[in-house]
Amino acid sequence: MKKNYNKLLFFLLLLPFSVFSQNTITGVVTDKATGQSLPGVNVLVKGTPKGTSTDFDGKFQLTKISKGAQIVFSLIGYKVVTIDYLNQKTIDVVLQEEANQLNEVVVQVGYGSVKKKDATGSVELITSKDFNKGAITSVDGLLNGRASGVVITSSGTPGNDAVIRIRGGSSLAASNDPLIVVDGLPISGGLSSINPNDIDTFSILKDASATAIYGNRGSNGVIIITTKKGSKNGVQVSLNTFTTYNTLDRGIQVYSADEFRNLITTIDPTKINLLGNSNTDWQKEIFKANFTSDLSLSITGNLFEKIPSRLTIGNTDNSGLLLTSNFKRTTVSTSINPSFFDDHLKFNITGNYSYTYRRNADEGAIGSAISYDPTQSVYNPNSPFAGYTEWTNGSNPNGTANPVALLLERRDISNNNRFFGNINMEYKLHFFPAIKAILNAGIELQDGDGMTSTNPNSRIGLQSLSVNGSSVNLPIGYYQTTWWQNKNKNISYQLNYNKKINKLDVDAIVGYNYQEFQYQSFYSGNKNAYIYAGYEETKVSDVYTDPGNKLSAVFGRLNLGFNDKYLFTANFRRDGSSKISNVNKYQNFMGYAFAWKIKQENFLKNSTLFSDLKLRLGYGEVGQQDLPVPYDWFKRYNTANNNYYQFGSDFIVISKPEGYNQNLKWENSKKYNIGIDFGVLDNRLKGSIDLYLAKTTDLFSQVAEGALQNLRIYGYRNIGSLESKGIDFSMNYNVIKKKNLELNLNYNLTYNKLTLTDLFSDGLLVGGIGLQQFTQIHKIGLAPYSFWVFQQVYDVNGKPIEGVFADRNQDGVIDSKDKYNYKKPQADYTMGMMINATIYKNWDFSMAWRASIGNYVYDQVSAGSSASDVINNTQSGTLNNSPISYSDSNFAKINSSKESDYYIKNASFLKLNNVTIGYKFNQIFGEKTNLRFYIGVQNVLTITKYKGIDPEVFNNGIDGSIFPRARMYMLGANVNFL
Amino acid sequence: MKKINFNTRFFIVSLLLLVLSSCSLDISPKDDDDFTSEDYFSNTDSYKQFLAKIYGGLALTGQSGPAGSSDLGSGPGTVDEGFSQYLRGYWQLQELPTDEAIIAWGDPTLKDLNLNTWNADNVFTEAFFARIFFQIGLCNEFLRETTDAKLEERNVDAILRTQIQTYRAEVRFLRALSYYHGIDIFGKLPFGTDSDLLGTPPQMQSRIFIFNYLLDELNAIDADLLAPKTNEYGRADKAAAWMLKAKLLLNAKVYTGVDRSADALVEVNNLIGSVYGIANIPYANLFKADNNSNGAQNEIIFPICFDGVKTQTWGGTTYLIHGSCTNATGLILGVNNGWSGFRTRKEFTETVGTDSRVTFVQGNTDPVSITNYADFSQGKKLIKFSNKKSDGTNGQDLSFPDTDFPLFRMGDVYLMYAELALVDNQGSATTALGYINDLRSRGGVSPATISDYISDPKMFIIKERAKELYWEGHRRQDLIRLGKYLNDYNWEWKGGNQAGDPVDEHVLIYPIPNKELNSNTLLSQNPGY
Repeated sequence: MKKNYNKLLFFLLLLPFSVFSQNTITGVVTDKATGQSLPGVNVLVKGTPKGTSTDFDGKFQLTKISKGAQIVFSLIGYKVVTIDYLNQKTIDVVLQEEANQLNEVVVQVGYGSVKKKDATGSVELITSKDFNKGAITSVDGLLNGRASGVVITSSGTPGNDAVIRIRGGSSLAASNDPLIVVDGLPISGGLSSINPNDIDTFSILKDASATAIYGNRGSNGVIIITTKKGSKNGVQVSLNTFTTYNTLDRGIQVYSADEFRNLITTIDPTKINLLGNSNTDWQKEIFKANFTSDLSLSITGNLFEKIPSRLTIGNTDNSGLLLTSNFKRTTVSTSINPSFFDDHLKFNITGNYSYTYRRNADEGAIGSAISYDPTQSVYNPNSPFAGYTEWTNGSNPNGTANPVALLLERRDISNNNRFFGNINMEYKLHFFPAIKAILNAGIELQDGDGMTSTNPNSRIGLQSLSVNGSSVNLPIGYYQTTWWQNKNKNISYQLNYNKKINKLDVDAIVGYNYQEFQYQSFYSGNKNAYIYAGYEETKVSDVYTDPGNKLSAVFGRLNLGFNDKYLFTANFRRDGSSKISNVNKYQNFMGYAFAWKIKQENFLKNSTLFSDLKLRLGYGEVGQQDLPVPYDWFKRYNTANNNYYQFGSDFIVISKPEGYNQNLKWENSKKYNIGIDFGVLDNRLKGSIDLYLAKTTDLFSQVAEGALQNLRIYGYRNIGSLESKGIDFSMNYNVIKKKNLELNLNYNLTYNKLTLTDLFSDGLLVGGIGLQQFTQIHKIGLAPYSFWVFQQVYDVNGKPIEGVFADRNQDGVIDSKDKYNYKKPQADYTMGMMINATIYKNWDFSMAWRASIGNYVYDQVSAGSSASDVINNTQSGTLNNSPISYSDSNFAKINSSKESDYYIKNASFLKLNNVTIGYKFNQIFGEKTNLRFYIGVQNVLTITKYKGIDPEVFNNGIDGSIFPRARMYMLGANVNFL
Repeated sequence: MKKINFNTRFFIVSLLLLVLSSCSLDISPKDDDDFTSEDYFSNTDSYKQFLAKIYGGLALTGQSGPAGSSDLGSGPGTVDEGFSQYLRGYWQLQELPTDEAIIAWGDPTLKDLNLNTWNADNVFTEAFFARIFFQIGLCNEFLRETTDAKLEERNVDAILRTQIQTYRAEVRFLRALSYYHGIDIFGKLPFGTDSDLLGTPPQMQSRIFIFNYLLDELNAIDADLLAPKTNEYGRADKAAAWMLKAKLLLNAKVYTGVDRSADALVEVNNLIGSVYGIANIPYANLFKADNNSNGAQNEIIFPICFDGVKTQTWGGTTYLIHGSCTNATGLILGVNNGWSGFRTRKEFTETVGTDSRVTFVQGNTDPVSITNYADFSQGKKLIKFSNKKSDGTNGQDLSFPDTDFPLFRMGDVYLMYAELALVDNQGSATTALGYINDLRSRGGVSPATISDYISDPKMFIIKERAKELYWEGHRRQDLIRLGKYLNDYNWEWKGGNQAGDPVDEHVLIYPIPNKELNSNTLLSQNPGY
């Protein structure tokens, strides 16, 4: 009691002093390297709640500071500076970047995170500063071209999910998609319904030493996405919006109306009477310039001063170039991260809701626009088909359909609601803080519906029905409804142990994970047809209920670090899947990695060349359970819905036992990785290089199982193996870091080679281009989907001689044995490069390039239409346009050369994906508000020899014309209020 | 007692939770079309539905009509569903390598059937081989699932058990039918029955072994099969089994080297003595859309049934009708289009002459001789199967005919008798001539006399069978049995060139598909492939 008295007295004595000596201080904080002012630096008076942060000019002001107080200046990535307050009026502080900025960066590694400097596996971290700039409406758009070893092919169709391949993939028949985990929840839906503004980081786990923690889903790599969190500081509002004007970069060059008239005169003068008088550019008619708008509003703050929270609302309206196509997305997402008991109990709760609306345009119209006679007009007032010009045979439509009618007379609408969210609870034991218990529970729900209808009076509204024993075309229209429901539930709990024992850092986790997927869908078929025929709806269509998929696993990880030099990681997962036979239901997957931080060794510690150097070695075994059949390992019976056999006067519905494979097991991949992380020039240049080799065995493929060995003849077996090897290289170079100019170069290079090393039946033909006609092969020693074609023979002028192919096996006969491998669809090298610059503080500039080298495509557009028997189709009595490549070949018959190497074309490309220039106004609406305007162009330039719409195609290299990716001229703004 | 502190307790509870929480990964079908074995057989209709599937296996290609959910799977490594239809497969292998038919389509390896130049990678032999064994596999499984023990276990009542006993006999007949097609086309075969465990790689068995097995099997089921024409239309009765025995015995010399014509005559006489007979209807009506009810059903011992609405396929009579005609001729045949596929060769046209059973497309001036088999406008087009009913109206659907295919019919039995009498000296030559002329008079053809056959009875039978049974899937077997396939009889494009060449002995049987050999090391290839 007495003691307290004294304290109080002392305090009272001091009080007036303090009041008198309290003063105001102002100053500017700058960066040591560039001399630029630093905004957002935390300025705190040590031991008091008093503090502020610097504004956009790096300025700060603190009032009522007592002499002798310590003022702490801190900013992530910079060394902390502490200054004693000695009644200075102003202090200018210079912050220096932390010698190894890498140190503070954290990467997600599955069920936890590690500091980037301590990462042992091949894990690439992409944070917001690395993201693609410009008009990005999809999450994959942020990442495309930014990470080595990751090839993303995005679609021009608005709202379509991109195809993502990490290190080439490791399956043939099973999925090659990487596992995508968002805030701890492995999601089953795609990325297209997620607002890209919510994304904070991507951690890409490439090698099996890292992905082994995801066991049976790790074979194609893992992308772990974290969304932005709430902030502990004051309310911050940011608004991002842009509008783009979208145009067609290039279409397919076909003959103009006049050229076509000449062509028909040459091919068959008797058909001149079929020509029209118009000059129609059909591609112009179906590809229409339009606008995309995107708005995203994000509010972060500390709710009730206790709960860091974020709320983002986004809206995107994106029309594709193809007439009528449209995608609208509204998203609401939230993240709240409260913590209690001195951060001993932490929650991270995220929720993402999206509503998407799509109007799908019939992409078949693109092919029709290439083929439709350019001398015909779009509309014809005398046409019985809703006023559109159509080819007819008597009263029936015939030949190529009018592409404009295909689009305008069909409505294909779908609505999708998706919610996914996750609750992560982390509890650090009060009396044993080395142990944390973590509970993670997530759910993903999707439910949507769709409707397709056609104008009954248009050509596509005619439905072929059987009436009184005659099949007739009736103008009743097509009307189909559909719905679907997906559910995905995930729960995991784990214990973490983290302790430093002398020189040894121990970080261990052990946990359990269960996940379940459910799916139901319904397609009505053409309701108009069965209403007309008087059928009951239930007899025609049926709800499909998928048996679902259940996954259950125990996992663990041990990280050991010794003396901050040697790091060892072991990942373990014992995984079970309902898709796998009971005999093989559970399997263990292991991954090991070792890293040596060479920079920490004495001989490099003082090196001026190397600011960082780390060697990584990794090995792991992972699996693949995502097989194309829901369950194939036990006997079941199927009863047909609408298929009968006649006994007497009765029709008996047929039913049968299905074939099955009791020994079905996982695809297994063994993956080796060796990598180096380096930093030179004081980490101004840093990067990684990785060499890898991955071998998949027990490849899941459909094979002839043989007579009487099953209840089927063909089925899935674990037979075959695939090898993937390559090099990933990525670097980031701060080329210039000066007060008025900062220039950053980011570059990555990927080399990948896939080889089939074992197959059940060597030479499996794939890449079908018509009834039992194939252009590709799965063959031992070649990459999957390698082109398998006849070798075209050319005349002295270099013109292909129709139907003449090299007799490669010299047996005097040209048959399928003369086919050979010519090129492959996969690229040897892919590259990404981004240059970002800041000029005079306020100007920013960004440019992103992508390149792909060694990828070839089969030009199915030309192969399917560049021949005179298609141009002058005597069977249907119609005329069809063709790509101008017809003039190079003058082939008479379309079927003579479909399987020729003549149509395999080099599709290597260099693309300038984005150029953006921005200008930032500071303090525009207030001290802490800034506004940035930017303009730019998306899909600026494509340099390629390929003559199709775009060399970057889907379908494993078969180009049947794609939905073009628009060139987008953009204008955007970001506003931040603090 | 020392109090366990909170941390330790927490740790222990957590660990226990970890260990104990192992969620079940059991999974079962959820869709209302899919069943576990237990659920499936609890429905008493299931036995007949399973039986319908096996019969339907001769007509349909999958669980959805006309295509979809193929029995033979889909995607890389499988065969095209349309190529694999049972009847189409059998028909092509029996007709395309002969004087009766040649096909214009460019489907891969199809031309090799025209030219007798196939190899072990032929898509169509692979497809038919797969179909045969899909059928046999289903038959074996049906028999495994309907043993007395299994029926007892499922408490199946007495009435249904009696029905199932008949089903079982029919399934054994269907299995025998497919094995018969198998040994005729491929010679030796992988062999397995319901007594073999599913999944056991089957042994290869010789043609003789299977021939003997089939005769035993057909004798064994005789008692359980229903009397001729007492079963539902479409289902097999005793007569169907007799016909199959007769076919085996007639061809016994080809299959086993031993002549069994005397035994064949017994079966043929059984059939002639049965309630089946020659339908007293115009010849063309046998092949029309209503041939299940227009009187033809009295002649058809065993049909493969098709229906324009309920039993749709791209193979079967859909293929046989559309494939034989152009769009224009399609109108005459009651279909909405023609696929311009197969027509006949010069030698057939010359053989049949003016026999009125063979209808050529009227007003057609296409050349008889074919210089380019890919050009459908060359060669004579025939009219045989039709989607018109006897009264001239169309079948229910213009794409998918109602027409049933007469796999076994009494017209054939009459000519088998004739062959036994005139070629093998079994039975009476006078009776034989009577049967021939019964068929001729129904077809509006002047009667044959002794002088027509006496000099070369084999050639006479070959010609007579062509006139009565053309395009019914008999030709290759007939030519081989009567010694006219390799040499001694020539036709355009035989062996690969237009003039026609003798062919090597190995083409008497087709190769075992290479994919099949890959899948089972116990199997071996036929000589010459």
